[in-house]
Amino acid sequence: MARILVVDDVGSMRQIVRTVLESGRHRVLDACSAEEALDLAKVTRVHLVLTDINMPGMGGLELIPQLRALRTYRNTPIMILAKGSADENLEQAMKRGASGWVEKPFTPEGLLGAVNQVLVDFYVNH
Amino acid sequence: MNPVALALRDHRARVPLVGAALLAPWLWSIFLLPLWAIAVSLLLTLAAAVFILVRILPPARDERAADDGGCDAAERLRKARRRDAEQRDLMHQTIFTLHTHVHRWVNTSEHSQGDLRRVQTEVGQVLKHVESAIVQIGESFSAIMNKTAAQTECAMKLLRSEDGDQAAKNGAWLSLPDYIHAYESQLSSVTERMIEFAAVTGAFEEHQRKMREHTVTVDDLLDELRAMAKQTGKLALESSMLAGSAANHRHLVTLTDTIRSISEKAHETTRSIRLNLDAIREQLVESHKTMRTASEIGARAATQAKVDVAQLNLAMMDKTAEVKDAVEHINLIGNDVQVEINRIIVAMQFQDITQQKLERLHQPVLSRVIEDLRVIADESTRLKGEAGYWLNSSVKADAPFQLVRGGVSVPLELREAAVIAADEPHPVPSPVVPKDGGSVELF
Repeated sequence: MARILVVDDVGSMRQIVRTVLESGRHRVLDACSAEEALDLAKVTRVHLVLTDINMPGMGGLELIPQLRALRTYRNTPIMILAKGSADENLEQAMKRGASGWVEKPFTPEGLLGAVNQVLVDFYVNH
Repeated sequence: MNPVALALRDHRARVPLVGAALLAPWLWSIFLLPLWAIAVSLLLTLAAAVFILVRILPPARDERAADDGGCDAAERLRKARRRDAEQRDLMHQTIFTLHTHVHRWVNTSEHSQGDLRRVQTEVGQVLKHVESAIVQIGESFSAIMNKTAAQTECAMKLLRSEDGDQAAKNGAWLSLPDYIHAYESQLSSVTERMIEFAAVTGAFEEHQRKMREHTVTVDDLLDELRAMAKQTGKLALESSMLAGSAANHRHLVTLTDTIRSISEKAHETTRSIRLNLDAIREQLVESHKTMRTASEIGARAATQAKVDVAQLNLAMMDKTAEVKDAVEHINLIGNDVQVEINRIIVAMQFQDITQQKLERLHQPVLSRVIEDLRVIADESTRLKGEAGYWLNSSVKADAPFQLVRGGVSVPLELREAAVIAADEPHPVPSPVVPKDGGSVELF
């Protein structure tokens, strides 16, 4: 069971991601903006961050380096919710330190599989 | 020509009226004022009339001056032509400006049309997504309801027999409660037989107890016989000794009586032993019967239980297979339900895509259209004021075009100039400063 921080400005998306991840026995913290996520990350240690790219104010692309600047999040896996492999932000996100991505719209199995795969890669295989 | 004379000639039709108007106020004072005062008043009135004619009334028209054929008329004609040229330039400028403005309107409208087409497309896609998502969610919910009902029906089927009690009597499918009742009945039957068997076993134990008692009695009798034998032996020895002496006849008689008594006692004991042995034999026979009855009951109960349990086991195996099929079916339906729920989850994510599309429309596209229309409206308002001023000036100056109902009748040469100007590249407009600051290039 991992602690996962979900960042998305759309409430329904946060709820969907929370439901799916909790069905996989993960514990979920959520934030409706990158700023709130950053504040939350400073006081709480999570095992994985799952963030949307397009958000009002600070976006997901800006959030990744800000998280990487925190000592505790230097090696924490950060995944992004992208619109697909053709998403123009995907390459930027990977350059800025994202660990993986999940294509929207996703199926519950797809999301859980991707998250578990990244968790296993980072915390078991490493 | 003297300006006073010229004015008097130009305005000769108005001179009597002006004079009458000026002199009228003085008529009532002729008989009241002294003569000198009247003379001074008349002189002042005359001076005022001259001033009005020369300075206040408009100058004579060019046509009359032209009729005079003098050098002033030529000068007035030149001025008039120069004024015509100026008014023509003014009109040209007005039309050119209007043309430029209309050109901007065309560009803005085309630009806005493109943006609004994009809005229309995006809104159409959004509506399609929303409709698709709603339809998908509705269908999935409907499918979930149907599948859940099928699951319930499948589960309930396990709890009831297909053909009711008649089917159960014929050995057909039983419901799970029927099976439970059947097992309970079978267990009760086996228990009763076991209790019966236990009762038979108790009778067998009673026979054995009696046999033990008879055995103890036989042991006592045997001990008694052994003691009598020993005593008989002694008596025999003693009788032989007495017989050898033959002296004591009285003692011999006593001894003989004793031996007789012992013999009777032995006979009695033997009879008792026989009776006990008979009793033991009877008990053995009873025990054998009891054991045989118990064995028969046990064997019958075991056989019956074996048959019943075998039948129940066979039926339960069939029922277990049915339960397995039902559970697998329920599981398959559960998987289908999960698939439908996944579809709902995917459909619900279209809200995110829809929101992003609307945000893209809201911020750049609609804001740009609104700003473009605002700027062009401001320009139109300003131009409307300027055009009104120019047109009024042109009409007052009696320019070679005239104000007609609903607009301006433009001369042919100006229309040609406007067409030429339309074909020429338009000048780069000056930046328009929007209300919220910054510089915006419209075109």
